[in-house]
Order: sequence, then structure tokens, then C-alpha cells
Amino acid sequence: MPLPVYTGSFGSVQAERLLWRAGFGPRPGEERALAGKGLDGAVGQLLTTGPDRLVGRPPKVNGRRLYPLDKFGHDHLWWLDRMVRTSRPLTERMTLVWHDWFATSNETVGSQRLMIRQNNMFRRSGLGSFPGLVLRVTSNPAMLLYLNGLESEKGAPNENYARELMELFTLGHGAGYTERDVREQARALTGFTAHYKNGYGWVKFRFDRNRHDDAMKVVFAKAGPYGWKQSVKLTIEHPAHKTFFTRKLWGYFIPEPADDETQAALEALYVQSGYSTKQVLAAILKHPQLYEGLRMVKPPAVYLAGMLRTLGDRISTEDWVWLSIQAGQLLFYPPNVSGWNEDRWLDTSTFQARWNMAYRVLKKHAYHPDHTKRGEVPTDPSKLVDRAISFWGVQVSDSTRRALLTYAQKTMGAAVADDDRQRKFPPMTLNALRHLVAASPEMQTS
Amino acid sequence: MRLRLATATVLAFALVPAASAAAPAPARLQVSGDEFSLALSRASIRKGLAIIELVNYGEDDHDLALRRVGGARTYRVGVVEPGQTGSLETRLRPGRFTLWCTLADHRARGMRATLTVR
Amino acid sequence: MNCCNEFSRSTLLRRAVAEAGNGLPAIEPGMPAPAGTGLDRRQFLSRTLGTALTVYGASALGLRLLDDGIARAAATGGKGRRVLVSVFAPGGWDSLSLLYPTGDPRYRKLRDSLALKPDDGPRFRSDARLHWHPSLKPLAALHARGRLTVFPAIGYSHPDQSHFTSRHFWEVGALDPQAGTGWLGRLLDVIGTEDNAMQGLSLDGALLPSLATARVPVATLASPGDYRFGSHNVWDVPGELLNNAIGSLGALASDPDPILAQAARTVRQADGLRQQLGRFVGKDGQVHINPKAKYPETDFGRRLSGLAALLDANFPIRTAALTGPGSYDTHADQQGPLQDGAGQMAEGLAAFQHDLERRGIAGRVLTLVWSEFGRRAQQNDSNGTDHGAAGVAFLMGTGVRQHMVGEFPGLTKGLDRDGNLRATSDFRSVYASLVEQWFGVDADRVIPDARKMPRMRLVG
Repeated sequence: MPLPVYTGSFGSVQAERLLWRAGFGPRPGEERALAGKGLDGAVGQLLTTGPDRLVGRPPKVNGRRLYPLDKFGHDHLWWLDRMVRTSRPLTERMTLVWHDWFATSNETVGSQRLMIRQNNMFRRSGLGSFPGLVLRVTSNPAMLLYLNGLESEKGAPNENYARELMELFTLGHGAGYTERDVREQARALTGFTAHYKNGYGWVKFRFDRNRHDDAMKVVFAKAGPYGWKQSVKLTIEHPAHKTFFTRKLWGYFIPEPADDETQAALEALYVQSGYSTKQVLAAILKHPQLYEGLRMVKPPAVYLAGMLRTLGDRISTEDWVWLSIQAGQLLFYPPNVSGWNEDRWLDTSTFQARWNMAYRVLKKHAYHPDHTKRGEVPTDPSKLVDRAISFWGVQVSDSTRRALLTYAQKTMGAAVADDDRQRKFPPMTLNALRHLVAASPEMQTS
Repeated sequence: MRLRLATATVLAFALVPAASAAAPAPARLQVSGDEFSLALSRASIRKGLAIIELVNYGEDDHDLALRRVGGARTYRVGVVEPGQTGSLETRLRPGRFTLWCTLADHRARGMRATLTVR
Repeated sequence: MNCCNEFSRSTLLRRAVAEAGNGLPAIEPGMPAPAGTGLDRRQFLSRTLGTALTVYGASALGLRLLDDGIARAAATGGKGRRVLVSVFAPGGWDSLSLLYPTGDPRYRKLRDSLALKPDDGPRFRSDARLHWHPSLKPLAALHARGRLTVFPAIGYSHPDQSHFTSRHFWEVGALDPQAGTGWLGRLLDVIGTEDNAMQGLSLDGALLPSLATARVPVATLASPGDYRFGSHNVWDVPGELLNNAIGSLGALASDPDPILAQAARTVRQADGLRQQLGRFVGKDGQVHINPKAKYPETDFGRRLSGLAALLDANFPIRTAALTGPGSYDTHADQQGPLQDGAGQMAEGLAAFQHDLERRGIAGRVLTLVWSEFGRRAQQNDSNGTDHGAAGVAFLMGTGVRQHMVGEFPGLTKGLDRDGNLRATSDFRSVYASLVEQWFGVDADRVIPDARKMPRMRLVG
């Protein structure tokens, strides 16, 4: 069963979609450069791992650097900055995928340090083997705090992590495991501990043999004196896992389920590659459905980071924190262990928040109607529309263009034979048009 | 509960020199409070200008007081409601500082910590 | 733009998880965060959109055009339909101050520094031992006019003293940490329709969990004036035309790509919603709703006056929920905060009732005011009180039948082992009775084990 590969033309349009799905959109000209590499070259470049180079000016908020460990909201800004300035957009995007997949909230963890430590782990290990990642997640301090791993010991296992390991991380709800498996896995996962240093919080996370239940367990109808590593191994080798993993990963990049053949081929690839995230990802990113299929709504963080990336703007305000809350995605605070609910990425309430984000992005770029020189901004409605569209470098449909043009024609029509309006309306119209483009369905999706 | 907009911010600027253009960035410390513990984002900070933020992760109101061991002055972050943050900006001299919540018996129940200012 | 630099953790927590159709977070007793309870058990992560004004629960609607629903909602409305408003007093208010038992021999002993004197507040007409807190005079007046039922010791058996857990019980209408829908949400699932998001209106920045449904959509709206779209350095004609232009961006609503079409539809619905609510917003951007009573200049007052206007304009609202003023988790120095919060609450409620009466629609509106628990009878050493059990609730409206439901149990025999007030009425009985008597719906369809709950004659 060969995997279908996209064979159509790979130009700027396709490269741009790839950069939005697998990253945070292009910097000016980036899509053309990527298109020049062809599909294989482009996907290969995105999948390259290694140290990142952050391009552009570092954040400055109220004249100061960020304090991601020591100030509320600066964790969010710190990551947003990485999304805006990264040269490894797929690594960064996969970090966001893992943050949703293995959702952990600082709401419960209460330590920006531990959350960022987990985040860096996702960034470092996110494109390697999936079981390796699950092992790191299982022993990760923030996760141990989030799903009660420290409270789980011999004689008193806590089922929280064991349940979610199977239900949300590796197998899917009710997919071939029983309540007894949950209890037995919980026993296998006992033994993690840490020291609560009064006035400082949790330190010295470690596995303590004495807290581990080393007696026999029966998991998936097989007996053994399983420990936490075996517990992870058992779930990865469970027949339901390959389906769960490939479907879930696919769903982050393509909005409709894969056809049966593709699904089967992805599962085979996953197992043959030794559970390699990278190889499955490469197949998804080359699949025709990514280029020919439906659009996807950009998550709020992607929408915001993408605008800043397009414009080359640095992180310069804490407003992104509350605007991101309004838009429904404060990083490091997913709503629960199953991650964000993308059904809410775009509704009448979060649309307003996105409008407000665009407002804030555009504010520093806006022309002042009283201080714009004649000729600096065109007066022809069609040219105004062109300027607004090229400002964002986005492709818009004819009907959106018509809507923009109608607006520009009406405002400029109201300026006829009025010298003051002739001077002020073009810059105001351009400001508004840029905002309308940012709000357009085309900019909300990719 | 509604999104509350108010912040409990206590600014103590009295000692900030007028010519602060070349001043180093302030040290920052985040204190996470809940029932009934305090956790610091770092065990020690540099002397000089410092901003200390209290994040209330608990269910009840909390505040924060800071005093240098052997010192007489108490620095305060006022009462912070659950889910809110408050902060204090001040200059700190080197030494060991005690931090605690002054509300009810919270200190006795565990809401205390120490900080080293180097 | 309205602005804020802070967040409310609990807002974040509850908003994100309380979504109709997806359910509330299950709450493990004593564990405030929903970590690990993984409510949203998606089998496949579809990235498609839920359509929108149905800010919550839209997915049930598939691809249907909700803007039609909004328009119809605003046009045809809910004339004559009965409405229940839920007002939550956050933090667990001190019922023993709000309705203080100055006639109880143990009162002054238990409340040595907090005790109010007999002359401080008006007498409570239904029980000679009790007096109203001075800040509740407006409620005392409503009570005297037969517009208020008082539940002096309402709660449930085996009370939980976590704010989150106890509030969750009240919100879901059951002592079930795992319950995934709110009690008003389940009521709407029975009496509501699939295309009217206004039927369950959360007057809040977030969906209040009581309204979380399984089937039908509900909406949230902080204030009619909050839904606006402006742009920086754009005013005059370009500013006036901007809003229409936003609506025209929705032209792609018939695009063959369903996701692009839905994004376009969202834009159009946003514009539709703005226009409907725009009836209440003047050119100056101010909200004009012509209240018929004098409301306090508070957020609560504005929300209630907005609600009265929406009801008067026949918006098809069946249930509404909002959070009242004040923060009642008064562990220390409680007199000031309690006085302020309760005073604003009472003034706002009284204004709302008067407004409804003068608009001639009071007969179809009931308001239930509740808090997650009362507070410990014995005050603490910080001039405050700690978490307790039974507390006080009110039911307001022209249709109420009783002055008081349940006795005040007294501070001798009426306290449990932990020194907390025992409940003499159960909130689930109140819910079951309202579901039947106010909405004419079999309570078994809304409140679990309703048949075991005694009924009380509340309205009609």
C-alpha cells in the first residue's frame, strides 16, 4: 500500500499553505524560497532538526526583557516570540501539537519554570520516536504534578495518569482496555516522587524504588512485574495504538479523516519506522489532501504569531496575554487534559477577540489621517485594496476583494469635492482595509 | 467568577534614582501562593531594584509581606484574590528575607518562605 | 478596546471547560482543578468549525445558518414566556450576617466581634429571631411586599467545603462531581430549541456552568454594548461604513470549501449579532436601554438593566445566569466587604424587580439568588468566618407564593459536628419545584432522583 504523494504543481500557494499548517506562516518571501525547493525539498527542510536561530529583534515589553519564569503571562509571550522568530517552524509547531496532545496546565502545576522545562523537552524531542517522547512525558515533573503522579505509590496507586496515558495519549477512549487495565497500569506507574521544599516548591523529581509496586500485574491480559517503562511500552505495542497515533497526528494537519488506504499505509509506516513521528509527519505533509483538501482554521496562537511574523514585528506588549485569553488560547493553560477544543477557535465571541488582536497588531502600522502626506497613500479605491492585500501578502478570493473594493469606493465616494476628506479618507480607508483583510475568512484559515 | 480587571499593585518608587537610564534591569521573583504554601520562582535574587509578583493559585484571598531578617521595614503586596496577581517594586539590600502571608493563620499553616538577596 | 492585564484563574478554568455539548469538568471532591478528568473525549480531532453565534453548543447545528436563528430570535421573541434568572453570590456568603439571628442565645458568643445589634437592621417578618443585615434593606422591603421567598438554611446533606465542589453541585443540580451539564442547561435541553442560542443567556464574559447544555445552543453576552468592532485611526465616514464592510466579508458563506464558508459565516453572524444588539447602542457608542428604575452604577446594575431591556424587547430568553457583585469568601475583616457586596447585590436586585414591574413583564420573570455555601457559625480570630455548610438563598418575583421556606434551625441544635449550619431545605428540591411549577416540565427529566426530593410550593 503506497502512500499517496501530492504531485501537482508546488508553487507559492502550496508552499504558503504548508508553512501555515506546519508552522506560523511565511516571513515575506519565505513561501517563494520554499517553493523553489520542490515538495520533497520543502518538507525535508521543515523536518530538519537542530539548534534554532531566532531571527529579528528580541522582545521588549515596557522597556524590559521578558521574565518567562517570574512574571505571569511572560511564559506565554516567551513562546509566542519563539513562534514569531523561529527558523525551525515545524519544530515549534510540533511543540504546540504536543502541548495540546499531552496537555498540562500551569493552573495546576503552579510553576512557570516546570512548564517551560516541559516545553523545551517537547521542542527537543518532538520529532523523534513517539515512545521515547511518551517516556519523557511520563517522568516529566510538570506532568507528574498535573496528573497526580507524585501521589501514586505502592498500596495507594492514583489512576489519573494511567487512565489518560491510554485514553488520551496512546489508545483512545475505550479502545481495547478495561478498568482493570487502568488499575494495573496505575500500579505499574507507581514510584515517582519529589521533595517539597518549603517556600520553594517541588524539587528533586525522581523514581524511588521503595515507592514502586514491584509485584505482578496483569495488563492487556498479560502478566508481568511491570514498571513504568514497561507500562509505556505495553500501550505503544497495543494494537489500537498505531491507529490512534496516526489519526490523531493527521488531525492536527488535515481537517478530514484520511481515506482507508492512506490510513492503513500510515499505520504500516509508523510501525515499520520504529514508531517514528518524523516519518509519519513527512508522509502527512506530502499527502495530496493537505494541498487539495479543505482549509483549516488557524489556532489563535498561530493567527497572532503569523501576523507578527509576516510584519517582522517584535513582541512589545503584554496585551497579547489578555487578547489570547479572549481568543481562547493562553499558552501553558489548556482547559483540561484533553487539550484545547478547536470547535471554539472561531465563533462570534472569539472572532471579536481576533478582530481585537488585529487591531493591536495594526495600531503601530496605522497611518495618521492628519499627518499623512498627499500622495503617500493612493486615492484610487482599487489601488487602496491592492495595498491592503499586499501588506499582508495573503491571497483573497474574488468575493472578498469585491467586499473590500465596495468599501473603498464608498468611503472615497464620500470624499469627492471635499478637500479635507480627500486628504484624510485615503489613509483611514487603508487602515480599515488592512483590518478587514486581517479579519477575512481567508486570513482566519489556511 | 468574572474576569476581574483590577490588579493589586503596590509601587514603592521612593528610592529609584532620577537618572535611571543606565540602571540595570530589575530582578524579578514570582511567588505562587495557595492553601497553604508559598513557592518562589527562584531562591535568590540580585540586590537592588526588584519586582516581586504574587500569583494567587488558591481558593482564598492571600497577601504577601517581606522583611529582611534583622530589618525593621516590611514590604507588602496587598490582598490578592484567587486567580489574580499583585506586585511590588522596590529596592532590596543584601541579606535573608522572610516572606509570608499575613492573613488569618496562613503563616502558621505554611505560607512562609525565605529569599536570599545577594 | 476594553482592556485588562490580569486574568482570573477561575474564569479561565471554568470558561474553557464549561461548554454545552462538551460538558463541565468533573470535579474530584476537594480537588479544585479538573486536571485529569479529561472530559472532552474526542475520538478524532476534527479541525472543522462549530458554527457560531451559538457561542456554545453550535456543533449540534451542523451547517445551519444561525444568523437566521438570531434574526428570528430577535424578531419573534418570547412574549409571555416564563424566564428564570440565576444570580450567583461568589465565595460562600455569611448567611449568619445577612440574616443575623440576634434573637438566638448563642449568637453573640459565637460572633463576639462580628455580632450585629438588634437595632442595626430591619426585623425579619417570618422569624422573630432573625434580622436583615442593614445593607439588605431593599430586600427586606421586597419581602414585605410579598416579592421575595427566603430560604434561611439551604444546602444539602454531607456538605462539601470546597468552593469549587460545592458550587459545582449547585450548578449541576446534583451531588455529582462527574456531572457534565448544568441544571438550567438540562432544562433548556427539554424546553429549548436547536436554533435559538438566546434561550440560555450567560450575562458574563464566560458561559456560566449552570447553563451548560447537552443538546441545544446557549450564548454568552457581557453587555449589549460590548459587541463592537472599531479600527485604529479610522473615523468619520470610513468608520461608519466599516461595520457594514465586516458583514460583507461574509460573502464567502456559500464557498464550496465548508471551512472557509463557515469562517465567513462566523463573520456574518458576528455582524448580525452586532446589528441586533446595535438596537440598544447609540451613535455615541453608549448603551441606551431606557431603564424604568434606578439601578446602581455597577457592572451588576448594567447587566441587569440590559437583561430587563432584552426581555422587554421580547428576546427569546428562557434562562439567564450572571454572577452577582461582591466576593464573599470573607476569612478576615469581613464586615466591610460583606456590607459592600451585599449592598450592591440588594440594590441591583430591587432595581431589576422594579424595572420589570414597571415594564409590565414582572409576571414572567423569577430570580434565584444563591451562594455555594454559608459560613461557619463560630467566627475566627481574624474578624472573619471560614467555610461552612447551609446558607441563605432568595427567590424574587411577583409570582412567589411564600415568605419563607425551611426553618432557621438555631445555633444550638441547628449546627452539625463541624459547627456549621444544618440545611432545612435542599437546593435540589427548589430546582425540582421550579422546573415543575414555573416551566411545567417533569422534574425527573432535569434533576437526578427528583422523585426522592420533597416539593415546596414556590410559585403559581
